[in-house]
Amino acid sequence: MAYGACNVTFDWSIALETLPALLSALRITAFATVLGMLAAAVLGLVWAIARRSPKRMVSSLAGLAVEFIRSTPLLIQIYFLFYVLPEIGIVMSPMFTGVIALGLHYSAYLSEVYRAGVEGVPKGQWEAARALNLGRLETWRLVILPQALPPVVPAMGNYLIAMFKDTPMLSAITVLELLQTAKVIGAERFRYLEPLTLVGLLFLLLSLGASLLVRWGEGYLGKAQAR
Amino acid sequence: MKSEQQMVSMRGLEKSYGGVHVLQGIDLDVAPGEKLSVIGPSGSGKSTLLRILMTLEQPTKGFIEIEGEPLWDMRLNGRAIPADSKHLRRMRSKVGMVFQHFNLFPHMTVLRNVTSAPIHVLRISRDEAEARAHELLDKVGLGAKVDAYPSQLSGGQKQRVAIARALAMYPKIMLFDEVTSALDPELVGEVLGVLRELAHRTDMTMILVTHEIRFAREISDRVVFIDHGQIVEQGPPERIFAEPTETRTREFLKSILEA
Ligand SMILES: Nc1ncnc2c1ncn2[C@@H]1O[C@H](COP(=O)(O)OP(=O)(O)OP(=O)(O)O)[C@@H](O)[C@H]1O
Ligand SMILES: [Mg+2]
Repeated sequence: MAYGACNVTFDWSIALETLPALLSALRITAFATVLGMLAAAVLGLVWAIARRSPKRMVSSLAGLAVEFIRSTPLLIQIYFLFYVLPEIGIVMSPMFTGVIALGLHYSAYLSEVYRAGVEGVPKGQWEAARALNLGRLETWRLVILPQALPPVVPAMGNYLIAMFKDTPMLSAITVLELLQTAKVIGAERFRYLEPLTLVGLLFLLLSLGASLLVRWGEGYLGKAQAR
Repeated sequence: MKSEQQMVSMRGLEKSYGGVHVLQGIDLDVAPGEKLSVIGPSGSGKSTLLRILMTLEQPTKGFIEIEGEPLWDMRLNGRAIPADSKHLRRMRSKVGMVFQHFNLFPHMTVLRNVTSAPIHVLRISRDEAEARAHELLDKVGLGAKVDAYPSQLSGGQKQRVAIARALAMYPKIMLFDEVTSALDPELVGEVLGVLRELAHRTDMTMILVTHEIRFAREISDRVVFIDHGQIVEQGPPERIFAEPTETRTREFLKSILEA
């Protein structure tokens, strides 16, 4: 039982040496998360509004798309965009592909979040908007969204954290984010313990910090709502 | 046939939800500038009637004209086809509505509640919209509340803002759906005061659904009694309230005077 378990002690000097490379990879991870979230937020809103379209075609197509995206694994979507799209002539960088995949995948979840927010707006608000002859776009922009969005910001924050934790999947298509960088370092030095531990710690720290922020935001918005 | 142009004209208007016939053939004309009160028991279809006029609901059968133009249909090469959204928006601009539960926009100040539709729909300048909003809010006694949010107002104040908001769109027809029945009794008077002013000082066509018999008697040119989605009786308020000919009208009036 003793063989193989020889040098598994955490070496702080290796950890310190690899930290700068990991921190710079963290920038890539953060970049992918922020861009992915932006894409998801915009696209999710498009789904949510399309699903309430008076045109049956539009609303059912949007509903179907959301259902489809939610029911297939993110990793498969990433691979699909990366390997299949080039075959039909659409070539994108790994990073861009990853951002699109994250954005597309999470837009389906965010559209549900938006939907909950929109359903929380009383029917009378739609009716008042119509009685004032506001158009569809103005009704959404001036009346519905300003009331639907604030209550769902915390839920969106939770999806932001979930997306952050999903960014290692981009390593599957060679994006040099945290995990991929740790793997490269590990292969160079034949030491995986320190870089992988650091990557785990970085994820832990940032996720915890973000969770605290979301919780604080919930309390803050709760108070603002009570105004 | 049409000697003078009616403001509103309904023929054989029907509305059902599933199998429930809420309106069962309403024929009703409203003259320009007329103040019409609609009374009737709960569930008789009064709100539905107003909501169809406001294009919040679509009738199941029959038709409505506003100023001689079909509301829910439009003519294309002489044929009637279902109204498109452009037609509906043009027709809708003639009508305004005040709701029982105010439906103010809670995230906007009083001033923004009154100015946003004029700015974004009528496309008048912000300055002009605000000047006019101040004028209207002064008229309903809320000149000092322009920067308040709806949640900071009493029910009576909210309803007066809602009236100003609807007036800011220059409607030819104003619909009032039991606008005082969600108010505490001591706040009813201030809203009726505003309605009275409107009725006496403007030539707007007004259709009011109300349970305030004394008020209806005072300001209306005509009273319509609806029961089970049908017009049972109509006439000048003095006659309807003093000597109704139909038993159902008598019973209804008795029931609300007792309450
Ligand atoms: N969206 C709807 N779906 C199904 N039934 C409806 C709907 N809206 C109204 N109804 C029904 O239609 C009937 C008439 O409703 P309406 O609101 O027009 O009555 P009302 O005369 O305004 O009554 P009240 O004095 O209580 O306001 C009621 O029985 C109501 O339950
Ligand atoms: Mg009603």
